[in-house]
Amino acid sequence: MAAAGNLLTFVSADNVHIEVERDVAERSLLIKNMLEDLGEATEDIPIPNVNEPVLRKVIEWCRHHKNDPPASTEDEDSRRKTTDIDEWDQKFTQVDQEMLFEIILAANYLDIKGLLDVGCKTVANMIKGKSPEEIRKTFNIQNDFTPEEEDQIRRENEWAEDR
Amino acid sequence: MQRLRALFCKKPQQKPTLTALPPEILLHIATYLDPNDLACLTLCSHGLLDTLGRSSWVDLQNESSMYLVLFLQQLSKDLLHLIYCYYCDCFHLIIELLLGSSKRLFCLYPQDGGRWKSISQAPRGPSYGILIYGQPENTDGSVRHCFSRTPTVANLHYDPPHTSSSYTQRYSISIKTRPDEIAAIPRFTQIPDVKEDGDDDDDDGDEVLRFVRVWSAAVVEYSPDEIERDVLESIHICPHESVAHLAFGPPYPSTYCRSCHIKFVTRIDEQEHQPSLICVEIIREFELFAGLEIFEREASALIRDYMRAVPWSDFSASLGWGSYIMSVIRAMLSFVSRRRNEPSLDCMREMGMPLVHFGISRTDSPST
Repeated sequence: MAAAGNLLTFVSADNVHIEVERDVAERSLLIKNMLEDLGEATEDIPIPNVNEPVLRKVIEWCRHHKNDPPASTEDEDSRRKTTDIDEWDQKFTQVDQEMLFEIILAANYLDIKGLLDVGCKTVANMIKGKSPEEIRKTFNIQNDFTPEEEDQIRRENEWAEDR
Repeated sequence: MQRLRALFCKKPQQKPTLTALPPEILLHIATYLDPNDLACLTLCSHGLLDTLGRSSWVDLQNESSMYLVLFLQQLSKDLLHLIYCYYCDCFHLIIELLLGSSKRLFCLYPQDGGRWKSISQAPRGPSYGILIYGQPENTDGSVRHCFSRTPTVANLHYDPPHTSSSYTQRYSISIKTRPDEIAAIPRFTQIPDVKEDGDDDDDDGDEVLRFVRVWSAAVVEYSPDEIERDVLESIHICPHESVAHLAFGPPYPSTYCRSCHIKFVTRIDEQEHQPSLICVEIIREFELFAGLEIFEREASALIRDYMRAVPWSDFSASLGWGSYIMSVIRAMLSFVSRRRNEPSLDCMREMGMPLVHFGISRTDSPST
């Protein structure tokens, strides 16, 4: 299916065709630059790294934020940024971890800065306040530190003092 | 179409997990984390440490001490054998582990000039021991432990701290024992020299074990048949407030219970009426608990623990504690709902932790 008028057609990794408005699609810098290079898109646009459910979520986010101003780069230099997420985005990211990481990867791949920020903030909020073991449990991370290594780290940093 | 395919070449699929994220995304996530959270993340695995580096550890040392405190609090959840010490920003070995989880450790610093009377107990109830970490009088300064398992723990007189030429604060604690009780002290106890205390007003033949430099002291509750010499001799006690789950007022106005994530702020009221009130502010993160029922259970355990730590009350012999505890819990919840929107007093409250405040009436003589 070719794009018609103001509509583009994405083809997901699982070969599902999804129509999307051009202004929505251009929230992705990758797509926007591609369209500028190609002029009119007369063909389907393959998105081979993103499957249908994730692509639909990404399009949903782009559609909701299609009128947002371009992301500012002023605050990118600040060492630490706020993790505040607006209400709609909070609900949007209430998905299972696999979907969340898929969205982050898709946002990174499609170069959608706003969505990437929201995903990363969500992950950061899941980390905040947790101990290493709690983080491991939350994200199913295998602890590959030996007890000797953990002791060594603590000694090096003078965090622990057995008295 | 070929140009499009060239633009969108497919990358190998990998199940998305945190550790499988590309380094640039992990680093992007890291920009949203404070040093304490980032340091905890780096300690999860080699891969995360390699990707994220150790800059957060440097930041912990160089930036606001709040981050280091938060980091150590987070880390302490995983280090069950250690307890975080607010006073010196590091961990100390927790005595409770050495004695087993059923044992309790209570800080033994009564109010200035206070005198600890004998600790009441049921005939078959747990015994109490006194552990002192310091330098006994007339010794060369080696650290000693003193322990007593006599049914009624000897009177312990506490002198307020006095200044010292060294940086270490000096305390004076003496244990008074009746001569016939000395024989009852177990043979494995290390006992400093016993001498008469001629200055004592209560000249009733008591012996005095005096420590001139005491860095810490604790009352340990234990089952009569369980204490072992090797365990006791290996114990080192944190000299600071954080060793105790429960605080006893100045100079230990605040402590943090890592097991139930509660910060205690204790104040003794200035009205010298009897019974006096010990006001405890409890700051806890309610999000940690799934519901009211769990909170009530936790709060009930908290109050029981607190009351066990008050030696002049006999918790086990008291009647009607169930209804008393429930009324306190209701008051606590009511207080929380009223105080939730008030300005915060410290950073913990700024982080959204509500304040709970209740008073406990103490009695001078235990009911038996």
